[in-house]
Amino acid sequence: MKADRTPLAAFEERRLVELKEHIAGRAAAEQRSRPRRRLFFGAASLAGAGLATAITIVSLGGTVPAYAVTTDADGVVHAEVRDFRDAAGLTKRLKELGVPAVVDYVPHGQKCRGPRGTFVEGIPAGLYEPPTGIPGEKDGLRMKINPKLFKPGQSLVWTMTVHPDGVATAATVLMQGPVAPCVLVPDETKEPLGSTGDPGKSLPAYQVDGKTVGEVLPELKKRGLKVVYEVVEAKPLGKDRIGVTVDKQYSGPIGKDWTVVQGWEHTPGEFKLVVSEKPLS
Amino acid sequence: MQDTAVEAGDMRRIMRDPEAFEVFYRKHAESVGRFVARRVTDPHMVDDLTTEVFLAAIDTARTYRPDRGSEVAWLFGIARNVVATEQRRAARELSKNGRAAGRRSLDPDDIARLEERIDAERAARPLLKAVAELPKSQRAVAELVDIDGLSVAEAAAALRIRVGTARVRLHRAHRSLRQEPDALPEPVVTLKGAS
Repeated sequence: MKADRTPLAAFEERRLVELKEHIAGRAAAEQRSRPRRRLFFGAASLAGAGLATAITIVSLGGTVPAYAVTTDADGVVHAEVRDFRDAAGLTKRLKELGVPAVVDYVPHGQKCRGPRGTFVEGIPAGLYEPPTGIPGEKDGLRMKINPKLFKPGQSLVWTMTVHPDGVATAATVLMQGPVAPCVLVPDETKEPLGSTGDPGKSLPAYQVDGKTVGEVLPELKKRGLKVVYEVVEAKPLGKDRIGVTVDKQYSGPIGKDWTVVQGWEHTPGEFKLVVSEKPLS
Repeated sequence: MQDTAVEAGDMRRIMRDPEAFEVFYRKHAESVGRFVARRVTDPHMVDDLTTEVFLAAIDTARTYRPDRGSEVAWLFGIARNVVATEQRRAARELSKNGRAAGRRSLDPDDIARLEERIDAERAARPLLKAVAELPKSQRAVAELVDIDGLSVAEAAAALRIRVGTARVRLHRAHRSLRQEPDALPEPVVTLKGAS
């Protein structure tokens, strides 16, 4: 087609510049209003974790109680958590209701020194249900835990962080035997970005989250990045949040139509794609 | 006419990636500009509306269906709506000044280029005028096929109607036009083949 090579008029070139700025601005605005999808994968990436759950929540101030934990007639514990900073109070309340929980609040940029204990391969169905949102509330999470399904010596270990932008993240794992107290050490793990990085680099930043695996692979290949996968089951928890269950045991093929939940260059030259078979919406 | 049809996901990507968009724009800027210049005679307005067509394309990439036609058919479908909206607005004579205020500045060279283009498309205007007399549904197909150079299938895609329906409407349009004094001219747009 001839138009491919036809030089454009000056005003058409200027229009192109404006339109490109519009696209870039839109992408930036989308990025700002994008669900705060930064998920915490610290626990999930530890070797031997059978099943870990990472969730992201948006913290809130105000007068709402930080958490509410109750037991229903079947002995199942329902915990509504709105702020994970009060880890000690939450641990105590859960223990009162028979949940062997270890909850730690870890300031941003730090992590608990590992290993803290032995991971349990495969959490029994019903012991712990991945969190859902609290109906009618923008923030907070509701979790269901069945204390009767814990075997002796098991603990549910939660590690929570509130990031500078107000996003709180939590990782949940089941451990067998003693759990070492959380000793804070600097966390050098690169933060998941959802993109290939800074626009200032030789190649512009490339947004991966929300796209399909088939869409992002050529771009990552072009950038010479090796790709590793983490398979998750993801489900939206209301508008701003996504609950993610990491499936460490999955070893099947990754479909090109799978959705990228998040991706980042977690070690130089290696790009981690957190992928979900089902679309997020 | 360009006959490419990228995948739907690709179109969303193109409209989110400035570099990919540039390629798309360079391919289609002229044909969209000419589409508008056939219908509007003010250089500023041609420029404004062409910009609006691309803005609308960026915002509605999701509406692109590769199985329903080429990129050009999709863009012309959008362009039709943009031009029609402007014509309705102009008919109501609403806030003409408002639009002028938001106008991008054009220097004399730009205006000259646009006027050339408007001029070049002048030949299409009598036919557009004749077509304007047709019933609305026939007019839409006749415009896109006879004036803008789409195939019947592409016009159907642009208008989101079935190909058979488009063909029937075009046939009726041609029959009506043949009763007009200057009969049915040859298509005004010379299609550029793959070169």
